[in-house]
Amino acid sequence: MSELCGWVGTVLRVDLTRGTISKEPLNEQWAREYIGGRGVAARYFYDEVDPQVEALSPDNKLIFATGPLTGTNASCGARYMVVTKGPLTGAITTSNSGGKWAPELKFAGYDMIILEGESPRPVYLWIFDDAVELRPAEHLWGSGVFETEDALKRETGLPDCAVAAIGPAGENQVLFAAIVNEKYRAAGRSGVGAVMGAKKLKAIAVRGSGAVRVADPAAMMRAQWNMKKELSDAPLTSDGLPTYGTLALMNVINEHGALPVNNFQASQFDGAENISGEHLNETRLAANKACFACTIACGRVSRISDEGVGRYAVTTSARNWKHATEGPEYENAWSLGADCGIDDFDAILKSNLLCNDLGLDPITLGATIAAAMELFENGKLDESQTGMELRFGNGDALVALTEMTAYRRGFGNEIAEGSKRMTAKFGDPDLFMGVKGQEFPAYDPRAIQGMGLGYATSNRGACHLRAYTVSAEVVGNPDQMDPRATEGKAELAIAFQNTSTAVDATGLCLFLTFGTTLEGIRPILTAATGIELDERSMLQVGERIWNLERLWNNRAGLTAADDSLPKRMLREPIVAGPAKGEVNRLPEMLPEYYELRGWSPDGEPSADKLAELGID
Amino acid sequence: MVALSGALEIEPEKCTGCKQCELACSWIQTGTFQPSKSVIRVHVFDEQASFAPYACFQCDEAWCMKACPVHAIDVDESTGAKIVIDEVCVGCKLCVIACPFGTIFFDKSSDTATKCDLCAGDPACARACPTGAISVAEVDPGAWLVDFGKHVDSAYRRATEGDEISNSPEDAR
Amino acid sequence: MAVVRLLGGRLRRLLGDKQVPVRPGPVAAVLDQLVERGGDELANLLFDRPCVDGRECRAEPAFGRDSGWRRGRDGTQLSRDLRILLNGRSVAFLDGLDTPVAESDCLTLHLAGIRGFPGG
Repeated sequence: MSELCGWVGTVLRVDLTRGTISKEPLNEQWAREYIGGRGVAARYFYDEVDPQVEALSPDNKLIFATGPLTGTNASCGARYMVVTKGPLTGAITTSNSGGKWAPELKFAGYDMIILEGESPRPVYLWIFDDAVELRPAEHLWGSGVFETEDALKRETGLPDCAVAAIGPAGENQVLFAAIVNEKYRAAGRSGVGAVMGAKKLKAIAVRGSGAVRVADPAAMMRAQWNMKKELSDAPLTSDGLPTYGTLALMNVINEHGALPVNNFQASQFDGAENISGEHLNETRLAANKACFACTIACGRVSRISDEGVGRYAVTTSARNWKHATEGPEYENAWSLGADCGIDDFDAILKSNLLCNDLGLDPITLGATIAAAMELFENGKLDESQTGMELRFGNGDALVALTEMTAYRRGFGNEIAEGSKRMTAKFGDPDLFMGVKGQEFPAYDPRAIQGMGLGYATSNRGACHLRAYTVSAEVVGNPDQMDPRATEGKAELAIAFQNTSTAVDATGLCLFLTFGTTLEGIRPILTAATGIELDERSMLQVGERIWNLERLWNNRAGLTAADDSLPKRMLREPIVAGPAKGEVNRLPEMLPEYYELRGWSPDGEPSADKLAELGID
Repeated sequence: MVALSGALEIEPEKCTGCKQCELACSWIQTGTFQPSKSVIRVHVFDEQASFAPYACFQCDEAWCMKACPVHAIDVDESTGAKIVIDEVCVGCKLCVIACPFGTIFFDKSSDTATKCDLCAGDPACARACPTGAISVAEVDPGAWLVDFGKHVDSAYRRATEGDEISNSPEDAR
Repeated sequence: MAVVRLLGGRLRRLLGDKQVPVRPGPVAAVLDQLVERGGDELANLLFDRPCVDGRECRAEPAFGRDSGWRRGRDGTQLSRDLRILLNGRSVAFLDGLDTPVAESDCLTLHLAGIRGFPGG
């Protein structure tokens, strides 16, 4: 019986090739050094997976990891991390999701699931406390995520179970297929859903009646009470996020001239107001909602308008509640909207809903379609190849392609490869807007210098979450920094990377950091686990995890040359708007970044740094 | 029938589905986080477009109390809440069947029925709710259940006293 | 005329539109014109004064540092939660409250603050 608190102390290991399941104690040494979630999963992954494996082969592993605070009443404690080698990038990928799946796994008695090999036939994993089984899923293969979840709830007889599933996109190994839980929350990026599909694992359904214990209950209650108070005082988490969700950013980023349009050809969008948070609230918002234990509640529930119904109608349940979908988030409204020159919420909502049901990453999908649109406009693609007028602003094309991509039908088969491969195939690789094979999210790095550095150095390819310097450079949290300047950005990016990595390891949601700091989170972690950590050690844990991921990537063949940005970002100045004339000045920031990280000028962690962090 | 004095007041429009109430309820009972022990449950409606937490309404009809064959359910004089007396309960689950709202549960680990007892007057769920969807009110649920209650009461009385059962609301007394 | 653009429901409601015309001048004078139009409730959002709903406007940041550009020469203190952009550039990096707003300029206001981000 484990003495651990916070963690429940058991790892589930599933060999899909042989169809066997075993339970093993959580490595407590690693739990202390890496906390949990993204951290402990990275440590297991580093130990067990050869960086040279093919991402879609049985030799790759797929890890679902919760943290010690998942399942407690810690605000925003609902998160799990999917860790694997990403088919889109060839790098380690760490993809995060919310909802209620992760706490359910803790209540069932497991901190982590490690999936190995490849099943000969489609299966789903059923977990109900001690009972863990692989069950046939041929009858579910081909179904969307929504139908799969409904069917599993009927079949298992437990309507309260939590389901994480792939849709047809994952089954068809679309390189950016996602894993979706509670129908509308997703571990979205880098193709984690394709890995699950390659392993023929359709879903993981879990129900837990057990408990998560904490080390010091009185301290836990005090710390959580203080955290709740901090969050309800902090402006973003008490009012901004609940009112507008992440979509609050649309108008703000546009005003700064940092909203990428038409595959990053422009940085301000005339239609931004039509896809803004304000507009959603006025026209389509039904409610806001929360993930498990979250006191922020930034989720959106949106309706397609009556006008849109005729073109984009959806029926999402047998009871025919019309046109309700969760979302859109800022990233989705951008990639399916501004990046494709589309300002029609109905088209975006329909495509977003399809992404959830079919299991697709909306960011890569929208960005790849945008790149295809630019190819089409330049005459490098024509209608005989695409089957449609694939021009910027064409919402019908967006919706049609969403479905075609999931099923790899027609031109959807080209989109399914992601924009790096697609633009290379059709003769203009410079139109790929991303890093390490993964497409940029919704911030133009020419207008926000620090984001360029963050994109270039993120371990999982271009990502806004790894170093969300927008917080400082645009929002002004904790301090207003100049988005045009490069001074101080290396230190800023490193601070954000280490901090958010540490948060990812606890099982908490990153949005907590809009209202508090590591120092605010630390007492909760200590009260729950009984392990004394100060803010410096938490930052060091973040740094340790970051370096481990980097080491693994180096051994997978990634080098400093991959810490780069596309030519358009480095050499094509922004054409209009507040940031007119700007390019990203990565060469001014990257050398200092390597130095401050304690890495060689080739971007490799030095022996001294590794020793300092206790990595062999 | 004892006139009840306190009940949870629930405003579903404020509920975001976060389940802090379920965590608090399980906490106050066990000192751990175990939503399966919670006697307040958040229900999901309309494809996750709306939520409502449900707990025992402390109803006037007290179906559970009437159904219990061993008188293990009684009224807490200080709160007006119907409470399960663990030492008397034999785990027959008749109360679980009787409750039309599904807010009394069977706890396998203790082999007894379990339901909301208003935490002796200071409900943990109301404290934990971040949006104010749950509060404590001095309310007589008869006030909103009155027509239904009277109708059913009269139907029940007629059935036991041998009269014909009427479904007409005018016959409610 | 110059133009002030407002982000977020609250600011828009108080000023009656998504954007309002203003006479050119330093940022401080433009804000005064807005207060003439939006009244005390707007002033409470823009400046460090007791706020509506009984919640205190925070002059000091919840955490972090502030460069001091929000303090006017006449002693007024802008709300910590107010963001002001001149043609998309934060006035914190121009001349703060003295930044001139010219004929064809656009000043954008939004709240990353107590009243919401961009505005409740």
